[in-house]
Amino acid sequence: MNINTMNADTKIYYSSVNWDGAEANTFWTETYNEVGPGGKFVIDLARRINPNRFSTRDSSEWTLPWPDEILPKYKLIQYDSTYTGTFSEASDSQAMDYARRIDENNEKFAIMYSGGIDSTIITTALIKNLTKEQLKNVAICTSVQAVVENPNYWRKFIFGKFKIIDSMINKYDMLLEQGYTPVTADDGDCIHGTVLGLNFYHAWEQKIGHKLTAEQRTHVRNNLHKLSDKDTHFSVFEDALVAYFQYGDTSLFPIPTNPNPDPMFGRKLYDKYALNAKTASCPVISLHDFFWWLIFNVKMINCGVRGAMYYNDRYDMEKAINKIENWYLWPAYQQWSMNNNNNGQKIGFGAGTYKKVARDYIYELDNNVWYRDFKLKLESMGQNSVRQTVITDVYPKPSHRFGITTDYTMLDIMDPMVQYYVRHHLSNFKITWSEETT
Amino acid sequence: MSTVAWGNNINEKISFFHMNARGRRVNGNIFYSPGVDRCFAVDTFDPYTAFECAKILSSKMPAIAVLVIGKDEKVDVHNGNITNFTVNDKQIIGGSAGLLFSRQTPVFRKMKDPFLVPCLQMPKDYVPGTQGYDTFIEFSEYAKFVIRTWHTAKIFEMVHNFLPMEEFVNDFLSGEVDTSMSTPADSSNTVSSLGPKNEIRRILYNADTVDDAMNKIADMWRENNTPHSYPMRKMFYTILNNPDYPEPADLAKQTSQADTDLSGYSGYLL
Repeated sequence: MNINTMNADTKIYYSSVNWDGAEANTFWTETYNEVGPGGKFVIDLARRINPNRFSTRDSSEWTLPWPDEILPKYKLIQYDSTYTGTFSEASDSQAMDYARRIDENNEKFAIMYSGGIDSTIITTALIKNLTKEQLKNVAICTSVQAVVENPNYWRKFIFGKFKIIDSMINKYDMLLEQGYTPVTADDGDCIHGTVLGLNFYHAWEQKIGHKLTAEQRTHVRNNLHKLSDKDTHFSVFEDALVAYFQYGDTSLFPIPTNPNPDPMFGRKLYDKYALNAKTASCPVISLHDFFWWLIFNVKMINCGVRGAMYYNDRYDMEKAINKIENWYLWPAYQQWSMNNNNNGQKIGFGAGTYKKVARDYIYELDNNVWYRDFKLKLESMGQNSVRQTVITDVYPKPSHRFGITTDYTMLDIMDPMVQYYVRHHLSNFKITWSEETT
Repeated sequence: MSTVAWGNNINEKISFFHMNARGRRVNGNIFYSPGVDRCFAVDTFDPYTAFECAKILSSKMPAIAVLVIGKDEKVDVHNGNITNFTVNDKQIIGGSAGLLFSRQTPVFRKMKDPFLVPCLQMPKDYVPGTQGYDTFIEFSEYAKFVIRTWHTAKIFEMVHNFLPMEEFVNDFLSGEVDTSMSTPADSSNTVSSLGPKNEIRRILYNADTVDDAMNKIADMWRENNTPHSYPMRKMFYTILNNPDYPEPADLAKQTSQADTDLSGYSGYLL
């Protein structure tokens, strides 16, 4: 699509309302002052959870201001309540499929390895299931920070055994140009849960305790141990979640303070999340179900495409999105994820047991009790890429990449045509999921 | 040369980051020059950083001894009277030789017995009115400035550097990391591969005066003005707390990371 042919009916696969600390802040602030409650909600959502890049993968209710379609690669598979496959079986079967692709097509893989649990699952599965000969087709794209995250594993299983590619320099476009199929575990959180949930479980009292009554605080304290109880509905925590989703009254770069904050934003966001959860194509009952579903469904596409969208400055976007492999999009993982939320496999009662089943899978190979019992979820992507340079000859600055249309045209939020499109749809967007419509 | 007013260590902002016995710890690290035979600085902070300060100063003064006062030392010594003291043991062994003959780089010792000796006047080569005296007093002032500034640099890095990759590769993973991998010193994503803390150390080592050093440090911040170096810079000038050298006006007017150079900033991408 030529950007000049864009009109109000143009459909998009992916969108990002993103404060950039500079020019985009000016645009979003001006637009905020022009649009109604629906448009303000969308921009405030970026203020609460910057950036706002949410969309649904199934038929559950999640309205966007602009016409959209589900990116085909990420459409959620049909939920099968009789599925009994394990996490280990999913990992092994995915690895065996890579072995097949190596044998049949001599395909070369570049594993984005951060030292975190999700990417260590990939390397572990490949080491367990591939022959030495097959492993010659696997390179490790990584940084020193990854080594520091798990030095024992690095020493025993990676260093000197694989070709190493520096992720501080090599972005996805470079890997694709070198003929690799980049493999990312960036979608690993999506099958286990979300940092948004971990923060609530771990620090709710500090974050929102002062906003709750004594009775409400006691209620949360008395029920939080049931966060993975399949018979305790997430709405038991409704008051606390409404307070939790309210954005703060202080600015944090690159997000400015809203001088006229919406006191009902937390209620509106809870209602939007809750409606999406209640209309999900699989059961969403417990508090952990609730947070898991947010990332498994409405945040999954962002987790999936952000490598192609933001760490790729020149490679054809359609090819990049569809060529970059999301390890956990493998149907066996997706099905496992929809069937194992409340049995202790994803989390016990805190951050130290998050992704429990994955820790156990890695332990089978490395026997490292420190990693199994102490590893914490770290946001590795930003750390691994802090020295990468950005080239804007083909695509705009990453923070200005508003989205892609259904024919994979990149949209630049600084483009007047795109700004008109965004303002038009934000102006017409209505809050239909909550009784708080103003 | 500007004089840094700095006598009572305990009330300095950098003291807030140290174990100082809730304000009761006395000055404990003595900086001694064997060549002049006088002490020239004292601080109440940790011995490790005191020794690093002596290394920085070694570009100007050879064989500095950092001597830790024992619990029986009763002398009231501070940066207002430190140049009035010498030490009673002139044969402190550093490595395999006496101080005067050992090395350019400093030595460190914990002193068992009281060792500070008050002097009524400077040695003959360094009495007031001589070139040597002026140079020594200037050096003493510079030393106090280095102590204060290097502590400040280490503190802002400890607080704000979340990617100490170079340190880990060198200290913990030597020989175990592919040589092709990038090893930035910190998370500042600055033009300088050294990062602000290491740049400051190099400036302190090479500068001749406080004024020279502070001007070069200001230029370093200007050239490395990123969203991630911004909090380092703000903390540097705040806890350095030097009224003669506040944050330069052109930098001080930046009140948010948004005011820094965003050309290399790719946004929060998670």
